[in-house]
Amino acid sequence: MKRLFHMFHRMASPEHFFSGSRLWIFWLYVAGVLGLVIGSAWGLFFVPPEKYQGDSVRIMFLHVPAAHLAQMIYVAIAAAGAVHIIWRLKMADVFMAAAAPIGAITTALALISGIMWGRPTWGVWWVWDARTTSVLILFFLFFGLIALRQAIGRHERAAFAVSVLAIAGAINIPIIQYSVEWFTTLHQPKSMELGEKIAIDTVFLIPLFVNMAALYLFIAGVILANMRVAVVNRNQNTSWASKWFRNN
Amino acid sequence: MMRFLATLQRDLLIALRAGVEMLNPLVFFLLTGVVFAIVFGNELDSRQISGIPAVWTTALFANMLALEGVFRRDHDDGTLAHMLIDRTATSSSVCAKLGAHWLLTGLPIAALAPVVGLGFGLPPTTLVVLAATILIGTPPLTLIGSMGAALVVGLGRGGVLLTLLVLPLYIPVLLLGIGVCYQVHVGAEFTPQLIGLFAILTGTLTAIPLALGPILRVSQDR
Repeated sequence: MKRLFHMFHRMASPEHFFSGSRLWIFWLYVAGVLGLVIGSAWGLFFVPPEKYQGDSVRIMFLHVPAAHLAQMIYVAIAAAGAVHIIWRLKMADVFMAAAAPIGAITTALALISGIMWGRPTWGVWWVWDARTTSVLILFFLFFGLIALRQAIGRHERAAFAVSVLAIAGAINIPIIQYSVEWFTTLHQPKSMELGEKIAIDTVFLIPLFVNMAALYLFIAGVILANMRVAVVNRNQNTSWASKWFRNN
Repeated sequence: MMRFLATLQRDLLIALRAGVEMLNPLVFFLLTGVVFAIVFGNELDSRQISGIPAVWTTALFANMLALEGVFRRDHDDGTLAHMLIDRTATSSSVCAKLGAHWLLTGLPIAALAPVVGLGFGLPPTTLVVLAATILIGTPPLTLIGSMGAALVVGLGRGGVLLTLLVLPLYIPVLLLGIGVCYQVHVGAEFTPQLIGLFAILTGTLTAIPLALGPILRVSQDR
């Protein structure tokens, strides 16, 4: 346990992060891609059509993981914002900068797959109910984080502003979570709740979980890779970074 | 308290001396409202239904456009830096600035809302409720927006960026405000939406003034 904490603390140093993240990224990519291929193939070819929705249920294997990940990335960014404000950890800001575009893309993925799923099941591409609206807002929040950083320019100066914005926008997360319970919506309520009986048949559940876990791993890999680029870019003037630039 | 009143008086005086500039957000509100009323045409039913969100959205935009400059002038001439030096005074003077901003935009916009609403053929009760909800809803808008304005204050090209940052956070207020008006308009139960609106009002009123000092201080350092 102590060694784990030691490793974790070392990651706060840009140099150790840069050298240590390389293998992590490789294996996260391998596991993530493998899992996504297995989960998606399973979902597409080995799952029977659903009783009411038919084949369109297969969109779920992309839609649910993407929507879940999009929220989790935002939560992680807001947490990193808090960490940055409290402890002034530089790596927290590196994470925020690296994760925001990935979050925007994941949210877009959730929205687009939702639109494609809405047409065959609801009969419309899009409705303005609480769930769809709040996820669309999430997309714009990610975009705001990126735009603010761009406008301020230098990272050390953008960090605090972006942290504040990320924390303020976190109010949207509970709204997304509970939007299907507080309001009457066309979007279906939660089918999975910790400690309660799951309302999805096991046949659908296994590929869903495989894809969910795989997307977690894959996106962790993408964000780490993004952070790696950011770390070496921000530390160009240090001896370890210039050594790395010379050798490559 | 003295400082609060002094800053409030100062900001109101500056606005008064600036003359017509003070009226810009109001004229914007009237003009945009009228444009909406014109394009919606004379079909009474559809015009009434779309009137409520149109007036509310226009009020929101008028408020937001005025917000862009709320800290700018003081930032440019150095007054803001002085407000921030004394940490005990920061929140009272910043609150006074926002109070002045609300007195110059939110309050008159709420007063004008029934006039614009008339253009949509809304009945008297709806007009009153429209004005009341805008009265309750604009302070949260000013407060949330001020946070965005504080973040972009030193950047020069604040306008579009400010819209990008705060508009997503404005949406709950907008929906609740429109919700109350709409429920009253069709004669349905409106308490849940009203409670939500008041909750946002009290929440933003307590939390945001505390956050503004640190945000402005960091923006000053840039």
